[in-house]
Amino acid sequence: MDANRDIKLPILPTTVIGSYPRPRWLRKTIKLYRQGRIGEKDLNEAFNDAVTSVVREQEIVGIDIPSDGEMRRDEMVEYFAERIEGFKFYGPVRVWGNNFFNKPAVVGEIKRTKSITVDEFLYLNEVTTRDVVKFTITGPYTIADWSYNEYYRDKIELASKIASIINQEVRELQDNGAKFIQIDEPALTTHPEEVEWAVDIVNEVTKGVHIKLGLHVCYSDYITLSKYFDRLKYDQLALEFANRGFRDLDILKKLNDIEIGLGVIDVHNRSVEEESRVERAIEKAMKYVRPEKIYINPDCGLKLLPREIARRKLQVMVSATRRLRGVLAKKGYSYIVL
Amino acid sequence: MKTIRAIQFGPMPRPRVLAKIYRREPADVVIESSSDTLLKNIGKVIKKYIDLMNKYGFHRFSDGAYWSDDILTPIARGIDNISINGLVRFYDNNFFYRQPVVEGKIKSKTPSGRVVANLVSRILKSADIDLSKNIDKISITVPGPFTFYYRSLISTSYYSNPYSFAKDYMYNVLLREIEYMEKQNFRWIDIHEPELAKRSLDIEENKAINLLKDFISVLNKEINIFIIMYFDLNLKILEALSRHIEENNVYIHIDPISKPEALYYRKRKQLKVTNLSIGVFDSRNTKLEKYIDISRKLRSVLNRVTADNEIYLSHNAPLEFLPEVIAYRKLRIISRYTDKLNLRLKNRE
Repeated sequence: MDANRDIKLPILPTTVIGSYPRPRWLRKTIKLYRQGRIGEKDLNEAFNDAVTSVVREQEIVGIDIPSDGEMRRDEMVEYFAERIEGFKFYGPVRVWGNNFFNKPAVVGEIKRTKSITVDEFLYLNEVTTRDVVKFTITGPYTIADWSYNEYYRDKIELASKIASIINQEVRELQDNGAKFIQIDEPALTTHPEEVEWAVDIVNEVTKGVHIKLGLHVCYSDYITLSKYFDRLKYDQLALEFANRGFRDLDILKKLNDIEIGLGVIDVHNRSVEEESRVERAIEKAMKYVRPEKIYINPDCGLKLLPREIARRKLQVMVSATRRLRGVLAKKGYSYIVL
Repeated sequence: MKTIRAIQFGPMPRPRVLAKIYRREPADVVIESSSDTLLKNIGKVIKKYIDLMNKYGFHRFSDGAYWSDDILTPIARGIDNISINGLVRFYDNNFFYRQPVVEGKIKSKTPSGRVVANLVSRILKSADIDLSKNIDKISITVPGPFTFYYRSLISTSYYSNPYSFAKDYMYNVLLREIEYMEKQNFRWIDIHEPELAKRSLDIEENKAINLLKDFISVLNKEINIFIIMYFDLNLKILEALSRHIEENNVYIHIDPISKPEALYYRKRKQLKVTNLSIGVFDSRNTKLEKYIDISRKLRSVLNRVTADNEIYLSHNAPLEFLPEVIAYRKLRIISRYTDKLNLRLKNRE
């Protein structure tokens, strides 16, 4: 984290978890590409334009640490599996309702043959006007858990191999100037009996990494997770709280020195939150965590919301945070170091 | 030596063609819909699937449960004092269902009950299927009382424990479904009870099994009751089932794949149920099983659990967790393996 000591942020920095709704025109462009009516060059241009557009949108709303909205990624596991050797796709499986994802199968030794996301990061870093961006990477345990394992002896072996690949990727991003990377591990507590070793796997990613590393875990059993807070080698934990009505907030007192990325916006509900509700949630969190250890973000990626609603939700989040900053300024809190 | 039969149960993967249809008319709509076009479109998918199941020689199979996003929602919608909440993970899968919220005493919304059986019956009738040849093979998929209770949010003090809920669910909801099934000549009801398979279950085995036993005793013996447990293996429950339930029309399905070590947790004593279905084919992994591995697994299961009457071979849990192409490949392997096994048993006689 030493590399980041010169970067100042306002107290309670606002950020996103990662994904943002794709502009309608981008969805149409992707469709045209899949129909073979436009080429890869056009598609890439559209992706770049979409990133510029959603980064700017987050900045206009007042987000301090924007992401690229994961414009290029259809799905968080699928995207990485497509770019790592050893994976195969048999077809979509349903996740909920009428929503599917191409669950990958590991059919051979997995290898990272080239960098997976570095170009994406470089583009994001180029177009932002902020000092720091958040860049997201799907974690090894989640990739292993959301894949079929046809090749390795067991899930530990598979997850461990993926951890080594993700670690290489993170270190390459670090070398290319990334300052804040978030590892997404929504599956981390899905199998309570596996958390013990899963935490070690997730920690493998942090080896040789000196920049700020966040870990995002959502819709999970936080009571189970809190038993492992001491063992997590991450600077920040980004957790979802709005969807669960801000229950379980008391686990934050176990965080010790880890920062919290506090989820204050429900991404599975289209109604836009009241500012006062967001304010109350942050105030409640401050009972357990010092304000300089709190970042403000939505529960999870915003991609499933209509774009206009996502933007309005972020506006509410920023506005509520700014009001609290006024209160904190009177107590002497005005900025933090990344 | 008795013949071993191949069977299928539970929801099948949703084909792309149906996904397209549900993009226009969500699966939720099917339950109330009287749209002939929608039912016919689902019927076409079911016909293709049933033709294949017959071709593969399956002894019995579900209707594919193509009519719903999950097994809880349709029946929950037909019950008074239950609302539908947000998405919740279905056990340890990357699969989510809409959580029912129990807000008071439950009973069927319509005097005649029959939500699922009626729906399946309407779809089958709208499809070009020879029902006289198939109706006694097709099963109706419903969640069991304990699975329904534990997968729901209980927001009423009316049900302070799973037993009182299970009783109401069985007599006020399931019984109505089964009565309607009888009238429509269905012969199989699949009661999905992954909750009973959990080793961490905090219910008293005998209390739960006695409730099931009492319920089964009031049912018509012509109806086959398939109690399907998966995602884990609870030998305590299996022991209780083997002791208390001896009716010839009751079939117990176990999943020795999800937690294979569970087979050896209790003292080595062979359990015997009346009819047993063994899920030795993995419905949560795309790897296609080799016969030699299946034989090994089967032997280790049969050393611990066996049956007085029928033994069935199947997949361990519903096939909807697989891509469609793999689900069908697995069904084909189940069928071929079963044929091969029967041939070997016959030659040995």
